[in-house]
Amino acid sequence: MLSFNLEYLRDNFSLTIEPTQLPLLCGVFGPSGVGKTTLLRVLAGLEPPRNGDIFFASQTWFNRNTNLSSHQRPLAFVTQGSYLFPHLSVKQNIQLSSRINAADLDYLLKLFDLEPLLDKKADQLSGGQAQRVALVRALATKPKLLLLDEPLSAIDRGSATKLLKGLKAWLIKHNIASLMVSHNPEDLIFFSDKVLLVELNKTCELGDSLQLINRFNDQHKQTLVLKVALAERKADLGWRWFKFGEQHLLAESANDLSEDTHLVGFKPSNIVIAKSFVENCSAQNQWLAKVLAITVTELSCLIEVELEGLTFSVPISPSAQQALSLQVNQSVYLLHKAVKLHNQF
Amino acid sequence: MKAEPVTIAVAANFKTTVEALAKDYQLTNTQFTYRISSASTGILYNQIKHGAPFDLFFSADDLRPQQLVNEQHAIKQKPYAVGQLVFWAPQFTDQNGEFVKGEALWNKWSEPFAYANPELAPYGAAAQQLVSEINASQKIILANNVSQVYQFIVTGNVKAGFVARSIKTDLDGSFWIVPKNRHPAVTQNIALLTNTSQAVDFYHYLSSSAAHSIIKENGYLLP
Amino acid sequence: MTDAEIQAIVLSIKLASLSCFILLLVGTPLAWWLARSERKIKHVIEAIVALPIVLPPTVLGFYLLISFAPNSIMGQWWLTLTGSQLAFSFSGLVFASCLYSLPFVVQPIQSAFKQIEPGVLDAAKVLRMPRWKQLLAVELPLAKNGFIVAMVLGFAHTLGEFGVVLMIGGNIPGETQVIAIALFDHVESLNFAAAHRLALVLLGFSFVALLLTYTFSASKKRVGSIGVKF
Repeated sequence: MLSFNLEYLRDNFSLTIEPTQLPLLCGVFGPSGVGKTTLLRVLAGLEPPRNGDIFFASQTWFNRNTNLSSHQRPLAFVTQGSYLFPHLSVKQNIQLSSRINAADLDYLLKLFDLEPLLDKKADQLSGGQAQRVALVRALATKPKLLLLDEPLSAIDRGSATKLLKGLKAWLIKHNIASLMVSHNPEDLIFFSDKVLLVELNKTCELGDSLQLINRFNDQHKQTLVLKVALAERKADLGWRWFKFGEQHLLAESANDLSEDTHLVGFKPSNIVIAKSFVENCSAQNQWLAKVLAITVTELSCLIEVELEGLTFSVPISPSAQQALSLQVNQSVYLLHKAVKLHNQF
Repeated sequence: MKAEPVTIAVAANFKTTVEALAKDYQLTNTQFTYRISSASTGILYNQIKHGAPFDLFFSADDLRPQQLVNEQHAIKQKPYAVGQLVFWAPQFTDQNGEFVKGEALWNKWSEPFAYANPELAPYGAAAQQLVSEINASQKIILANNVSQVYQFIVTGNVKAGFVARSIKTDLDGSFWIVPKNRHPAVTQNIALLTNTSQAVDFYHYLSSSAAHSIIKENGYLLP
Repeated sequence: MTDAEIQAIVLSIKLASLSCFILLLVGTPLAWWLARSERKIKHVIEAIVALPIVLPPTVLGFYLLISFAPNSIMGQWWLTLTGSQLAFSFSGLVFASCLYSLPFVVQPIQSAFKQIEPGVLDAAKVLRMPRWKQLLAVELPLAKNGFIVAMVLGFAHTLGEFGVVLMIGGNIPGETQVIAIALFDHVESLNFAAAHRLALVLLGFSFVALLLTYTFSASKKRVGSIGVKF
C-alpha cells in the first residue's frame, strides 16, 4: 500500500513525514494551514516535495530519480471545491474519465443520489451536489488510491454520515486505499481507526484515531469524542442510554437507532467535578474518573483526569481546588448534562 | 531682420536636388532661408488644396501644378526638369559575361521586371508605353513608385526594372537609358503658391544656368 | 463593383482564411506554452510575439523584403523548395500575414488558456486522463471563446493589412493586389467613388468583427476580457 517519507515546504515552513506505511484507510488531521492539502497535492503529483520518496504498492511514484506525472499515478483526488468541468453535464463529467462497468456506475449513482442530476450542466449545481458528483467521478476512475480533501464539507451532516458509510463500504469492497483530510473528528474516527496527525514543525504521527484526535483536541480546547454503544437501560422518549467501558452516558437522541456503535462529543470545560456521587442532581451523566495530575497557577487550575482510557484536562477555578483539595490518584465523579448525539455509525 | 523661411514642398524623388539647389542659391543670397517638406506628389497636392502653408511646390509631374493654377491655389507654374527613364538590370550579363548597354538589354529581357504603377507615378506611365509595346509573358511587378522599383532591385527580389536616372546617377551593371522619344515625357513642374519675394526669386533662379547644371548633375534633362 | 475590385476582395478573403488557418495550427501550441510555462524565456517569446502590435508595418515589410530576396537564406530555401520566389507572390503574403497577425491570434488564445481555473486543470490530471485527453476534452473546449476571438481578430487584421503588403506585394492583380492596396490605388489616383466602395466593405467587416469579439468576450463572466493586450 502507500508508504512515503517526505519533506516539503509550504509558505516557508517545512513538514517532515518519516517513513510511514499507511493502512488501507487513513484519516489526516491537524490544524488549519498546516499543509494537509499540500500533503495530498504532493502525493497526487501536483506539487513536488523538497525531499523524499513516495511508493505505492511496488511502484515508485517519486524519489531522487523518478517523478511520475499525476495521470500516471493510479489515483484519484477529490479536491476541496469540487472543480467539475464546467462545460460538461454531470453525466459527461463522470463518463469522461470513467473506467468502471455500467452496473457499478449505476450503483454509485444511486448511492450518491445523482440520477436526478445527470443532465444538469456542472456549473448549475450547488456545492453539496458538486461534491457528490466529484466523489462519483473519482470513484468511477477505478483508482487504487483515493485522496479526499474535505469531501463532505458542503453536505448536511445527516446525508454526510450516510454517504461516508457508503463510501467506506465501497473502498473496502474494492480494496481502494484512501487518505481523507477532514476537520470533523467524528468523520475521521468513523472513516478509519488510524489517523495521521499533521502538526506545525513536528514530525507527523500515525496512530489510533480516537486517541490522537482526543489528545490534540484536548490540547486545543476542542470537543472530545467518545465511542459509545447502545445500552439496555431504559430512558425517556427522545433520550437514550449508552455504554462506554464500565460507564453509562445519557444522550439526547431519536429512539430508532439502527446502529450499535455511536460517537458523541463533549467539551471538558462543560464538566463539573465532584468528590463523590451527587444525589438529587440534574446532571444525569456522572462518570467515575481518576485524577492523574493537578496544575495550579494563580489564575487557573487544570485537573488532568483519566476516563475509560481517555485522558483530558478539566479546568476549574483555583478557589474550587482550595475547597475540594483534590489529590493525585484520587477518584472523582465528572458531571455533565445529557450530550447531543449527532452521528450514528 | 531675418525673413520668414521659404517653405518648399517637394516630391520625394527631387528632394536631394532641391537641397543642392537651395544651398547653391544661398551662396549668393545669404538672407535666403528655407524649410523642406517632402512626400509623394499626390499627398502634397492634397495638402495644398486643403491650405497647407507652402510657398513652392516641386511636383513630380506636370499635371498637378497645372491643376493648382486652374483651381487658383497657385499663382503660376512652369517645368523645371524632365525625368530620364532607365531600364536597369545591375547583375545581368550576356553569354560573354559582359554587361549589356542599350536597347538590346530591353529587347532580350524575358525575366520578371518591375515598374512604377502607371496610375500613380509619371515614371510608371512612361514605362507603361514600352511595356505595352511588347507581349510580356513574364511576371510584372507594379511598385508604388520608382523608389520602390529601386528597392526591389537592390534587395535582389527582382532582377530588373524601370527606374529614374535621378535615383541612381552613377549607373552600373546592364542598363538602357530610354530615349525621350520612346515614352511620354516625365516633365516635372513647379508651382508658385505665394508671392513672397524670396519664393518668387527662388522660382526664377531655377531658370538660371547655375540651377540648370545642378539639375543635370542630378540625372534630369532640362525642359 | 468592377471585376478587379471583386478579385481584390476574393483575394483578401483567401489570404485571411489561409493565414488564420495556419496561425491556428502554429499559434495554439505557442499560446498554450505561453499560458502554462513558468520559464523566464517565456517573456522574451511573449515580447517577440507582440512586436507586430507596436512596430510600424514598414519595419516588418523592410525585413521581409530583405529576407525574401532569392540570394538570402530564406529566399533561397523557398526557391529550392518550391521553384518560385517569395516576394510578390501569394505565398509571400501568407507568410507575412502570419507574422503580422500572430499576436492577434496568440494573445486571445493564451489569455483564454490562462483563465481556466487551475483547480479544473488539476482535476483533469488527478483523474488519470492522458495528456491528450486533458487537452482535447478539457482545455480546448474551455478556451473556446478565446479561439473565436482569435479567429475573428486574426481574420480581420489580415484583411486590413496594408503596409507590409505595400512593401513586398508588388500590386499584382489576383496574386498580391489585396483590398487595402486596391483602395490605396483608388485614393492615390483620386478615384474616390471606387475608394468609397472598398472602404465601406472594410469598414463594415471590421465593425462586425469587433462586435463579435466583444460579444464573445463578454458572454461568459469567468472567461473575462479575452481581448488583445495593447
